[in-house]
Amino acid sequence: MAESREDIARLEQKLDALSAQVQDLHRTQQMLASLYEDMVPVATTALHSASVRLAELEQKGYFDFAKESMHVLDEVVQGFSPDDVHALAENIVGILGAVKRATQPEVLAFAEHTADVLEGEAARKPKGIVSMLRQGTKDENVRRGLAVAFEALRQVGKAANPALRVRHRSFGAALAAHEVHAPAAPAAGAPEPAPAAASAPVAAATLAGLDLDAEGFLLTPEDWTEAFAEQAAAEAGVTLTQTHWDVLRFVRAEYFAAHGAPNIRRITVGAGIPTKDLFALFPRAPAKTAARLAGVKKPVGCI
Amino acid sequence: MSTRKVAIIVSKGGMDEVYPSLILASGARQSGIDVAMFFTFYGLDAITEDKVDHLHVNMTGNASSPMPTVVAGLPGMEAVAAKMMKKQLDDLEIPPVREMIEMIADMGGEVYACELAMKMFKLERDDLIRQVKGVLTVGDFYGVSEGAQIIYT
Repeated sequence: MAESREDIARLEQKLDALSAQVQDLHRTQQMLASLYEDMVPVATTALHSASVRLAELEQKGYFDFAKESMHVLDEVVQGFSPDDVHALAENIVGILGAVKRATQPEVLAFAEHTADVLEGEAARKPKGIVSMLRQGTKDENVRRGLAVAFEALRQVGKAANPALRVRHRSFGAALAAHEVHAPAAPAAGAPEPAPAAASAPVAAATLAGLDLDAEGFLLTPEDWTEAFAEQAAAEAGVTLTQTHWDVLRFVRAEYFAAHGAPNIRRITVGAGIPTKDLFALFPRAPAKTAARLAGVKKPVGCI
Repeated sequence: MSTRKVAIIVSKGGMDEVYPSLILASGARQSGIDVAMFFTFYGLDAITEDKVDHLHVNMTGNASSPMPTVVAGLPGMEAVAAKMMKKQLDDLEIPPVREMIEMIADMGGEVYACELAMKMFKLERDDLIRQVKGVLTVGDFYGVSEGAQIIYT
């Protein structure tokens, strides 16, 4: 009786140890499974688009091309020298070790589980990358997965060519240089603080008794008169109508509202006049012509 | 006044590859220069109804990109980069591609599609945005661009 109790105690101990092992195994598997779960939506989307692409490629005859490239592969294989093979032999133990690790029960179980989950996931509609990101960043598991992925990327980066890091440094330097220059750039859209007037205002010509700059724009926008607009219009071959005046007043209002002379899009939207009509009102270069007739500075910017 | 004219060929469909041509074209029209735009190969995306609002930016293989190529190659990165670029352009009051093309057409710029590329991508005239004035062969293009300075992008 005492003996059998001892047996049972020993058995219990063994069972305890075994269950601890099983729990360990289970935990490892769960970790792998959760990492996998995080990757599945990405993988599903990728697989989906890959299969569509492959179908397209097949249509275009890319696979015939691929067959041809098998010859190239042959050449590569034949290109192995005895030295290469020798080096391979030396490393084969390490390679086999990696293979052995990959075929451990936990990993195989993970792979099996993977297949099960994949079947379930395949039925789901692939999500857009943005909604995936939005959901994913809220999910603790995804964050953990991302941390793992980033660590992997970090390792890849470390192993990469040191030249890459040199390039990054020089990019950083370029960025720093850019930042130094940035504040010097004029604020976009703001009317020029008349730098010409500050140094030495040079009137290239006059119109309606007012001084013009070298490009025919009024030197001092505040001096503008309707008579100036009429004379400038006549020079440009434009007969001013009510709509013209509406545009000119809008341009002046925009300019003095500290936005600078408006570009064509702002006139279209702000004054409610379609682009096509603006080209009819002010032929060839509407924004520029309107600015000149309105007595403000030339519009800046590319649009 | 002289009638200066430019013909701009757009052969690529990345957002960053299309915008410079569109800005050149609109700038030309606003400087009194006649414009013909000829969209061919992947450039057709910019005048294809289903694609014009979803142009992407490919950051891989770009030496000027701050993004390392291994990261730029991750799935969905083109869309993310495009989104960022869209925001920056929006801040500068630069309209979306579709609106830019509408503007150019309204300004009197002419928009053409390449016949061969359309056949290649199995596109019909109805698949293109309505601003497209015509579908041209290369010979037609040289006719349309007679006397123009030709810019290839």
